[in-house]
This record gives sequence, C-alpha cells and structure tokens, in this order.
Amino acid sequence: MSALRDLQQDFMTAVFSAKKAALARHLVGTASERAWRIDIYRNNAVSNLSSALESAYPVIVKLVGAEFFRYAAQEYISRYPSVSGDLHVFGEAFGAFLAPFPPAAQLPYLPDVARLEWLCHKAYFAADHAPFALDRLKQVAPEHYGRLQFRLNPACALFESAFPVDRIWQVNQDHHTGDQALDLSSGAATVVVKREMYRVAVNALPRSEWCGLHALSTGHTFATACDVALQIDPDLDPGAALRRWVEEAILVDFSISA
Amino acid sequence: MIAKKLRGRVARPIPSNAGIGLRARHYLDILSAPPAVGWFEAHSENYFAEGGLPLYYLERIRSDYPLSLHGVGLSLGSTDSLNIAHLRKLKSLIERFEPGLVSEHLSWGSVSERYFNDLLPLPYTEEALTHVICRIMQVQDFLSRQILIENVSSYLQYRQSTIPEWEFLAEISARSGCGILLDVNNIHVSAVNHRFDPLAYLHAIPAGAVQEIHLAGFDNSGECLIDTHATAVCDDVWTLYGHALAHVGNVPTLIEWDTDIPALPVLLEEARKADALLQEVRRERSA
Repeated sequence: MSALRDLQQDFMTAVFSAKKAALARHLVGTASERAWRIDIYRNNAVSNLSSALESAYPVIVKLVGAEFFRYAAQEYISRYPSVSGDLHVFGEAFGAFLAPFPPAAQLPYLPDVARLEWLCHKAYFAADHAPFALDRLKQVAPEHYGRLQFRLNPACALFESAFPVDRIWQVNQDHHTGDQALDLSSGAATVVVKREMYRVAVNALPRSEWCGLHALSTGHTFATACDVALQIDPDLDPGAALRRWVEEAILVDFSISA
Repeated sequence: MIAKKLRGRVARPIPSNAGIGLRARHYLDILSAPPAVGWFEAHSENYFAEGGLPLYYLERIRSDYPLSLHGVGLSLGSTDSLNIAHLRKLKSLIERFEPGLVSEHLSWGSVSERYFNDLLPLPYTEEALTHVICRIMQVQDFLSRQILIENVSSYLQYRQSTIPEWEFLAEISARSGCGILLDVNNIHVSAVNHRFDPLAYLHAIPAGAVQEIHLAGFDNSGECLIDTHATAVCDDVWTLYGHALAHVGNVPTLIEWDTDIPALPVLLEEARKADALLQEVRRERSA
C-alpha cells in the first residue's frame, strides 16, 4: 500500500473510530499537541455531518431537543458512513436508525416522522416537471381509460404510518399558526408529500385515494387503481379523484399500456 | 425575455473586483434589490440537485451576475479512484450555468469510499505531488476546462512532508496547468498555526497563476486558529491581502462567510473594502 493511502486510512481510523495512535505517529509535535490537533478534525467532521442531519430533520430536532439530537446524530454518524462529497444526500437511514435506538423508545412515532422528513428533504431537491398534457389525455378514447398508466410527480411521495405523522409534521413547522392540538392516539395516516411552488407540504389523503395512487405509482393501470380504491370506499368517484390528482400535480404524465 | 435567457448562457468572465459567496439566506434580498457587487460564487455541491428552489434561484442570479463555482466535496487528493458520479454532476452544472471560474481544494476528504465532508491536508511529499497533479489533469480533462486549486487551512503537520506547501502549490500549477485560487485567510491561519512567514509563502506563488483570491474570517480556539468563515476578515488578513495584491495584481476577490451568516449589507461592506484595495492597485499599476 502507498504511504499516502496508509496515512489516509489512519486518518479515518482516528476521526471515526477515535483510535488516534496510528495517525499520531505521522504527525509533528508533542503527544498532547498531536492529540488535540486530531480532535479538531474529529470535531469538524462530526459537526459538519451533524449540521447536515439537523437541516434534513428539523421536526425531529424540535421533538427531541437539540441536546438529544446531537447525541443521536453522533451515534448515527459512527454507524452510517457518509458516502458522498455532497452533504445533502447524507442521512437517508436516520429513520431506520431511530427505530431500534433504545434512548428513543419512549417516542414510538419518531422513526416514521424521520422517514417522512427524509421524503420531504428529497422532494425539496427533486426534479422539476413539465405541466400535465391535459389536451393529450382528452384525446384518449374511453375504451383505453382502463389501460392508462400515470407517472407520479418526481417531487411527490406517498407515505403511510400507524401514527398521525402528518399532524405531527404540520404542527412542528416554523410557519404553523393554526391549531396546536395533537392526538397521538388518533391512529394511522396515509399522506402525500408534495412540493408546491418550491415549498414542501404534507397532506393527509383518504385511505381509498391513497391506495389508488399508490397502485398507480407502482406502475399499475388506472383500472387496477380503481379496483383497489373502490374496495376501500365503494362511493369514491374515480374520475373525480383522477381530476384532483392531475389538478394538484400529483400525477404529471401518462401513457397507455400495451 | 429571450435576450435575458441568451445572456445567461454565455460564460461571463469574473471581473477583477470583489464578489461574495452565495448563501440561501440572501437569495430574496439579492433578487429584490440586486446589490452592486461584481460577481457571486456558489458551492457546486449546493446545486447538485435535479430541481427545486436552489437551482431556480441560481438561474435567476446567474442571469444578472457573473458566477464562479467552488467545489468542497470532490476529494481531489484521495487515493480512492475519482468519484465519477460527482464529476458528472459538476460537469452538467458547468454546462448549465457556464461559470467564469471553477475551483477545487488542495486537500482530500474521503478514503475507502467513506467521506469526512471536510478539507483534510495532504502530506507534502513527492508521492502526493505526483498523485495530485495526475488527479487535477484527470479532472481538467473530464471537465474540458482549466480549474483553480485553493490552498486550505491546516491544524496539523505531517512528519513525512518534505516540500513546503507554497512550493507544492506552485509545482502543482506549473505541472498540471491548473490556476491558483489563493486563500489569503488560509495562509494567515496556517502561518500562525505552523509558525511560518506568510510573506515567504506569498512570494513563492507564481503571480501569473493566481486567478482568484479568497478572504474570510477565522476563530481562535485558544490552541490554534480555525478557519470557520464565521466572522469578518481581520486586520492582519487585510494587510496580507494588500501584500498579495502587490504581488499578483488585480485579481477577482471573494468574501466568504459560511457560518453564522450575517445580513447581506455586512457582506457588501466587506466587499467594498476589498474593492477599495483593488482600486488602489489598479491606480498604482496604471500610473
């Protein structure tokens, strides 16, 4: 192995495994001096990664407080290496990390709130989309309606949870001024994450609509999506629901399956 | 509208006056009352997204100002193979925004595919020199353009280093054809931390290679100076900047402020100070 690679590996061990001896032997200075010099780099790396997590998970910060969040972030950083020079993609597994994290066991909804925040983070940076080709849809003959397939807006995501994560998310937004009441036992939520005018919103959808959209988003035809939605709510008007999804730009394109 | 769009697509050279680092908290202020500042510099990775608000703002600001792109995550000096996915994103950003200058750091930040997301110092050895030159040439080749390389602040020194940093930087530029982004604050920080003469550093740098200067603030941890970009430029750095301008002439100068970011007028005031010094040099050189 090259001397340079050797040194870089030793640097990684010193910063992320807190074993400084190997790096210290490469450095100039007294033993104590070398130790605090390494600590500067350790603190820099942890604080850069921790700030990235903080900006991706503002609701989690509010829910657990800054001190607990910093502790959780440090644990996450030691277990989930950053794999990109772009800090915006760091933190994807924070929800999965929180699920079995014993100090967070008192807040069972926390992992799902984190998963929802990651979807919001991704939606914020997702690709822009062209306007829906409504004219083209109007030209589709009625006998082909069942074979229509739709494309979900790249800046949209569907999420379901056993907890009212939409309400938790909404009341913890900085600009939230409405009702603060939050009933944690109010049960499951089916939500759509959506970027509107560059701002990300989280809204609840009726379960029937959510399941229909979910079917569409996983490549099923409109006929299948209608079946799924009508099984949950026989009174749903699928045509009206489709119009809403298009108007709200949840769906942005379509094709006709063979 | 079309004229505006076209204008945005042509690479506009970075003028030899002061620019400021583009930060999200200033987007609205910049657009609502475009400030009298020469240019903006954006961190490349902040615009790696596929869409959304940051790109929208960058597009609008780019149509009114020259832009430079400054990378913080390429990990140029790493012994891992170059991150091609990262380079591809950088390349498409360059194609879209046509920046006047593109810069990276003389540092490394990842090994075995784990990233520190920090700018780590290299040992100044013959091995590292050859490695970095080779990497810069690969990057310039991939991007089909010259890049500038910036000296970083450091808080430690390696026993194996045999080449002074200033010679290392000069040699890299001579052999890879890259330009130099001279960070005057980083020279000051490292000079204090490692007790060398900042003027000796400055005068070892080939004046013709320097195409941009960075100015920023640092913090004192008690044990050493830390390059935090969280404060105003200090008097010692302004003085050193004066020496730098005397050595390299009029060079586009960036005010960086990336942490505890103040209101836009504070940055503009710093830029005005840099512009005053740049103007002095211009007068002296034309006299």
